[in-house]
Amino acid sequence: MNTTITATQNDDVLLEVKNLRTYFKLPRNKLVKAVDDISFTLHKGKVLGIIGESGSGKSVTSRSILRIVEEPGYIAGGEILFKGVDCLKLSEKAMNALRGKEISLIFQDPTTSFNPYMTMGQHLEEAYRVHKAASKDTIRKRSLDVLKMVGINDGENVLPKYPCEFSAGFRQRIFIAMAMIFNPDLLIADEPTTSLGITIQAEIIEALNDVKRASGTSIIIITHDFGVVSQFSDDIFVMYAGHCVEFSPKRDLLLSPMHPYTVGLIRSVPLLEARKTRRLKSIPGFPPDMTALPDGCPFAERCEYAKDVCFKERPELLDVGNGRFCACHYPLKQYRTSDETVLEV
Amino acid sequence: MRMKKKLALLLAVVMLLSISLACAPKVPDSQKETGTEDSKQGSTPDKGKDTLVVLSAGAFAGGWDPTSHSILANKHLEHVLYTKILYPTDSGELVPGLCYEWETHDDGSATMKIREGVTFHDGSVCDAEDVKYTIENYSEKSKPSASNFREQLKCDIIDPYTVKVYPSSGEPFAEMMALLAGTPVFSSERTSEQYTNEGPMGTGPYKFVKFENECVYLEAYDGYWDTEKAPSIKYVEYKYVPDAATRLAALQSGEAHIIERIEIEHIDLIEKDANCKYVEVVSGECQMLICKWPREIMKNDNLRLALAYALDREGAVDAILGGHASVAKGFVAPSFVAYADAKGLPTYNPEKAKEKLAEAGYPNGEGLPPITFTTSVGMYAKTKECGEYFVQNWKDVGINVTFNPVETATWEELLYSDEERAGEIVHTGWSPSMPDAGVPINAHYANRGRCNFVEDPELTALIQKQSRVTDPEERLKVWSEEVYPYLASKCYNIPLWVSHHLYGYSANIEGFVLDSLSFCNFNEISFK
Amino acid sequence: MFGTIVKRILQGILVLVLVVIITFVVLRLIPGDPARQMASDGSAQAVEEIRAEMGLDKPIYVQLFEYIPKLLTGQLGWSYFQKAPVFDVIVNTAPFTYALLFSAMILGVIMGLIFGIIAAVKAHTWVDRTLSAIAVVFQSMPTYWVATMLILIVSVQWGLLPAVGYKSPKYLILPAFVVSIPIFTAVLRNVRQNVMDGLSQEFSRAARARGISHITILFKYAFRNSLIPFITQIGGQVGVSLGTCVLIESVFSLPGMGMQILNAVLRRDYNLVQGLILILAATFVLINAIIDISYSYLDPRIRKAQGGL
Repeated sequence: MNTTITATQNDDVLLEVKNLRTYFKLPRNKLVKAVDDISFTLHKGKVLGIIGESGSGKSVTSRSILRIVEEPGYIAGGEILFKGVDCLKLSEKAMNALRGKEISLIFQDPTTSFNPYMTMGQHLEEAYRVHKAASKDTIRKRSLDVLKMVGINDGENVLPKYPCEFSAGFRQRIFIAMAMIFNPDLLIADEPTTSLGITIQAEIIEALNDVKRASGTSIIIITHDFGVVSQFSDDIFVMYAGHCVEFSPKRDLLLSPMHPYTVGLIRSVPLLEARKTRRLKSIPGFPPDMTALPDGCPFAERCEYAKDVCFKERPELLDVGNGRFCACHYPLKQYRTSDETVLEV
Repeated sequence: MRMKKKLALLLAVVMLLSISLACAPKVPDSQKETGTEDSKQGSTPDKGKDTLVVLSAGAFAGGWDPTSHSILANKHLEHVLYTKILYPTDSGELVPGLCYEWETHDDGSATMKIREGVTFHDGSVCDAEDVKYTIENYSEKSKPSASNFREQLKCDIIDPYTVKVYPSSGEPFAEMMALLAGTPVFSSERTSEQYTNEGPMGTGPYKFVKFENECVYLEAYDGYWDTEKAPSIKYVEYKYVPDAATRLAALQSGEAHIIERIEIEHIDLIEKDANCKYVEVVSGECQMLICKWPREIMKNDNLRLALAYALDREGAVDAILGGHASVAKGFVAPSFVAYADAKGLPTYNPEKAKEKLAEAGYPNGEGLPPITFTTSVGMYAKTKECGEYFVQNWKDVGINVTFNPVETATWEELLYSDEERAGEIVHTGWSPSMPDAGVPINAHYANRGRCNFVEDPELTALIQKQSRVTDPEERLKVWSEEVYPYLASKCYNIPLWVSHHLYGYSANIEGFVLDSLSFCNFNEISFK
Repeated sequence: MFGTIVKRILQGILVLVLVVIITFVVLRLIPGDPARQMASDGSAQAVEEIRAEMGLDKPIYVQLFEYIPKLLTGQLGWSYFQKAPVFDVIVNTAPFTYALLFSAMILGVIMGLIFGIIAAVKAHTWVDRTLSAIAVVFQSMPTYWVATMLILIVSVQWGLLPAVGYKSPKYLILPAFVVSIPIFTAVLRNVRQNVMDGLSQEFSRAARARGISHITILFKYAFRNSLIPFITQIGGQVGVSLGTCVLIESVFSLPGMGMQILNAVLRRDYNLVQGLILILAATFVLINAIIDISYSYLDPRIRKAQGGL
């Protein structure tokens, strides 16, 4: 289980997560291994997509990186090397200095992620002041700049208003702007579009793209929707039941997914222009009970290709070459998605 | 940053608290000086203290005009603010007050000699003019103070210190002198406005200073006429404390020296506390059951007697009142003028009760119409428990009675009502501050009884007869041989018991004496 | 905004009018006769005379129509027991009740806030459980009993504080503490729950992800957002506390409106009961109106919905 997805060019590695384990202690001595021994690497300026169904441990992964996992959760082990420094060994104070300054997190629901009692200007100002003392003017100038970055040009009108005065999509753009106030090296977007309408989703993805282009920030985008990652990720990391099941450069993954779960996810993507005859297929069954994971492959129960060994032994994540990794006893070697999907690659 | 926040929070708390304290009502400094704040510890002797703190169980009524009320708390106060014309003793005699010598005449009038050299608290002289004014006003029918006067009294001034008093009708009545015994003498010059604005003013050992926050402040009067009984304690605070448990706590903590009306359950606590004592006095208050004459069924003599024979009054006094009451042997309290045991008064006898019930036409209670028994809750001690006990007594002999305990104002209205809703039986206590048997008996039975509305010409004639006998011994004979036996044979009202006054007081004071009318002379009290 | 205030004032007046009418009618419908109280053991004729003098012999609606115009011109009438204008009685007694009410509110709210926030921060630990247990114990103790026990312990046993009457603000300490207990427990539970909710809100998590300190999140985010339910609850507590004050004043013989109202009801001192209830109701209505209006200052969402200030 010690396979590490390592970088090929070590010098521009921004984030390296090694064997991260985040568990939740539940009453009656139950333990949920929400994130169990995952590793990945993110290079500067790159976009990593983490994809999986809800409950697969994606969000916990993002919170673990920032060390804001809440009780009764805790990080049970591993390393999170950000610019070569292990975040798990930093003091709370040093960690606080990273949060929002070098690593920013964008939340799923922009209607609840703002304090309803603070104006947008106050939010931005607070986000700035918490890391750096500056004059009101400086902060205001910077606020207007980051708002422009996400396509909001009339920032003067936005700042004195309260969150309740904006639509959800607009709020999410402001939130992205706030996350960018210090030009962080890493931006984690945790399901940034899930709660938004389809057209707004596109706007947000566009805004993230703009941000990336303007600042060269690295992005981890967490989603359950291939439609989102397919548009601008470089690498894709597929999670299931707290484990990594497949890691691969985007193109390869989309064109020839190796893990049956990945295939299932790809097949469940609704496509706007797909008037073609493809039927939307959801993965049968339900995600496993995280308090009692089976010994074998956690996906076996739902896998159409599962054989006896899948139920008995857990497959390890193996390097299958070309920067691709897969945890499956019977990876799909010849699977081609092109005949049935029209994912934009 | 954190420090600053905490500091700000702390400051806010301090500010809010100080604002709330600043909003607290201000008390003039003069009042603090006379306070006994430092005498809190019960164990600390009150040596050198100059304030006596008395806790009243009843609220004081404003207005202060002695003729304008018949409130017990105000009467207690008047006892030390005024000198009464005469004073009753607990053995049923009258002793001198402002009047030091009196003579009764056959025509029903009386000549009274008034003390010279008595001054009111404002320094003016008290003379025959004031006595005349007092008597005529106090007994004027429209004044609440006149409720026990059969008729208005008139006065003639013979000389500046002698008056002749007589009934306005000219008909003599024997209890006239006893009525004067309860009358406080007030100034003929004081107006109603002055009473309201400046408070009461008399010739008593203490003068009124102010009434503030439910507390009456008194100060010893230098010019008190009875120099032998001049007050030894300079100030008195007479404070209204409605809650009996709080009064007791105040006594135990040393905040108060005398507390009114302790509860029976509290006696043990006082006995255990070396700093506290209590006094138990047979009062002038006779408790009884009123039988409402206007209810057809209560006109049945045998039924009333059956009700009376069925009552286990000794049992109720022992079991419920813990022996803190005296079972009535007559129709008024024994301390009254013209008291005698009532011959033939029914005593507990269930067999006899059943007999009388059969004679009344309801053998074993068959065919008996519904009877309702009303009592007050909160007026007298344990009325509800006693009521339940009686209902059981009656049930035992076959009389089914519906029990109706009510709150005091409701009870008081029903007590004086002759309407259907007043029911058949109402429990009450009666304690006139003029201790002559003629006063309550006249009110309750003559002409149309005040609460029972009984109309019995024979009884009315008897009561009038005793009232015309001016010789005390002969009068007593009429009472004990004619009036009381007649009342006992009829039981228009059924006497229960004479209540006891229970007062608590501090072991640090001496000279505290309580009389049967619950009056006490603060001027005779001193700190040890 | 102006519209809201006007609306609130009109609502408040409507409530007070109803209070006046209901107390007026109910007082006269319950058994008991002020004239009898006044005449005491006097004759039936004397009572009738007093009734006529007080106007009580007229039908209730006629009495009401005579009372309302007087009330509108500020005349509260005359207390027959106090033999003084009701207005004077209120002026003399109200300071005690308000001092008791406000010091108890301040004490209860501060204690409730501090311990509620502590309980929320330490949620599900022994600290939280201990505080909740204390709140439950306090809450289940009848205030009358607490008052008596406090007098016995603090005044009688220790001799620390006086038990009866009023001479200086220290006479307010014990009663204020007793009245503050229900406020304390209610505020504690309310603040604990709301701050816990606030802390688990997405915006608190988002703030943490921006590196904002725990203490800032606690107050500026979690507590700030529990302010409205908290203030709403205080408004409700004013009513409960006024009731507690009425009871507790009698126990400590604090000469406030509560002690007056008990006596006035017992003696059927109609005008005094009427006047005191009107003032107490007005206090309640006023505080709640202020709270309602304050919502729009506190919550930008309501403010914006009302179209700005």
